[in-house]
Amino acid sequence: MSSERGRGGKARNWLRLFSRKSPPTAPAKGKRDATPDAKEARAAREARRAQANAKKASRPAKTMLATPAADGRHRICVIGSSHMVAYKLAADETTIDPRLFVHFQGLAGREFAAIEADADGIFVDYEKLLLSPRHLRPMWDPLTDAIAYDAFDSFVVVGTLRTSHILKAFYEWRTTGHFSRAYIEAGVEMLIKRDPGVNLGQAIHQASGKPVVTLAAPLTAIAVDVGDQAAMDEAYRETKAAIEKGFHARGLTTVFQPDETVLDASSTKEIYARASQTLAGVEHEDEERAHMNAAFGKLVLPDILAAAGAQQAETGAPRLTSA
Amino acid sequence: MKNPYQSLPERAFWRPSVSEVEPTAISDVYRPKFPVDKSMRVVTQGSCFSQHIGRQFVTRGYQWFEAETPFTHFPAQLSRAYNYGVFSFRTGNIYTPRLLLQWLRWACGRDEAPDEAWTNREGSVDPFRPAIEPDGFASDEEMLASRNGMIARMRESLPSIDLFIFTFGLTEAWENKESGVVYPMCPGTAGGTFDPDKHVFRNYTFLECHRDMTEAVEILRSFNPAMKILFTVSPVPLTATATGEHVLTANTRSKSLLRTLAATLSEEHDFVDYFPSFEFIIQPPFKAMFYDGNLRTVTKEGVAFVMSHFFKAHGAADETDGDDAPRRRTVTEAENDDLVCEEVMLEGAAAR
Repeated sequence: MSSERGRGGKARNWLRLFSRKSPPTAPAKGKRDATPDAKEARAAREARRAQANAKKASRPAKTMLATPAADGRHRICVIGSSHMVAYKLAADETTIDPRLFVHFQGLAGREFAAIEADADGIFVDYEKLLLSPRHLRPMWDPLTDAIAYDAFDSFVVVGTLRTSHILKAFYEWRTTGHFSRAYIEAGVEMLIKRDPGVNLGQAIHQASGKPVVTLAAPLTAIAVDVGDQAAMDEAYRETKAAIEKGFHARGLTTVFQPDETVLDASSTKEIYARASQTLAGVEHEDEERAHMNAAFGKLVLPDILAAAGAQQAETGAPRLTSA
Repeated sequence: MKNPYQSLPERAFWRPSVSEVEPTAISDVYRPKFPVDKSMRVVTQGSCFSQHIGRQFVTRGYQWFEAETPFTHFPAQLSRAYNYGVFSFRTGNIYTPRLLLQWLRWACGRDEAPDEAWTNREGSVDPFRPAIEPDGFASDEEMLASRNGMIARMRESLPSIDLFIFTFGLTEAWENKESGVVYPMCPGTAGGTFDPDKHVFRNYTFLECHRDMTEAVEILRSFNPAMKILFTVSPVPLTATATGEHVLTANTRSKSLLRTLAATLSEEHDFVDYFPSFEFIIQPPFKAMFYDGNLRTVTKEGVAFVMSHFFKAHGAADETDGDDAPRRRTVTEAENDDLVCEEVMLEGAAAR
């Protein structure tokens, strides 16, 4: 699904044998691993891994995504969760600078965590997908092809890190006195560390050496009753700083939603959540306020493309005009 | 005429009720004075072993009270390191009767908690909860605010507590000579600096412990006159002793005194009971089989065995799979094995 071919277009696929290396063996973890229980658990893990590798080896050859023609365009691959939809809709509804090639692909919800990256490229771990109770839901454009790093100049990962949760943590620290600063910072770091989008972005960056922009989810569009606006302002500033710092430590850059989309430093303005869509192209229910719409996407996409290196195009910053 | 022993039940005799019975089949050991059910709001405090008791209450769906809850959206794995969900009040371990009394006196306003603060490499340390934050507090102000907030929650919530379970740990402690406050850990072990002119070792006598606990019970009942109190003694031996005695004899001194204290208090008050977790682990029939390889910490199976007696006595069916782990979330294997025990830090001082 690339913006150059419009909706419903067929991707040109290259065929390439897909193979995935086994993950490196985990280092010894001290004496606990030496116990009979730990040995048994390790043996069971290894057996499961061997079984999974055998299944993978018996699968049909994996299709690699087509590489766009090397015609001088800056090629950006956007891989995302359901939060990516706003940006894809924005790309569909506007004209992107012809010197850019932007490709979108993703999986929604928990399935997003099944997208992995290693030295061979970006792919879906079907073992993980099968563990999802909602596996293989019909969706708009699932990531079914492996993506080779050579096919793109930079990557964007639209992840699932809940900005609203981090904001709430900092706000509660400022207003309730219930938590220590160290606890809040450790918790925020753990949220970042465990986020599938962050992990995917980091893995792509490490394997490809290419720039990776990773996005946290926007603030939910549910208005918050802010008791202390000054504290909320400061908490939002801290939230962005913590995300930026955590991403930067992992070799990632990020883009935050524009201030004009934010209400009282605490939520996304409700108009940007109306008529949002799922990855399957279906409109969300009216009360859904976690995902944003094309209007939101249009405001953020230029920043995303710029962060992904689009400014390297001859004319500077990417140009988006309404179709 | 029969002598009194001739009319006693079988459970009064060692041979038929202990030595001739398979150890795990020993029964009818604990006869509760008062019922414990799921309508009661339960607090667990004390030494490390009381963490097992708290977990079992949670696992079985009892109303285990937690005064300070972790931040909703943080991963549960973070909670234990910051002492959320460990004890009902975020006090850290309370090993001695004197320390329990100190917390309660602060809670009821009889005494005021001092502004004393320790420092370590990471930051400010609460002398009375030295391991409550793994990296210390950002400042003395934050530490004091956290402690005072905890004391305030203790004050607010004790009136609504139906059952207060306290596990006695040991009789040894360190006090501040000038202020008289007692520390859970020797200064210099988990923070702060040891000063022989300022810090004094105490091994409390039975009379001191009894006096302290009598006042502690009185304070608890002043918060809620209907509160029931249940004592247990930790079967976990001392990590180290500062008495100059061998740790083996020092351990017996501590545990036997506390066991006697629990019995005495139980005999003095109809609202106070004793649960024999200590006996279920340390007595001869069990041949130390419920201890880990260090002959100190208690195995999961041991905890399950102990607690099955408790809940069975209270008419609750065995509602767990014997695993003493889960508490409102999935607990990892590593967490399951890790109780929060500051006293273990003393092992670092042992000669190798």
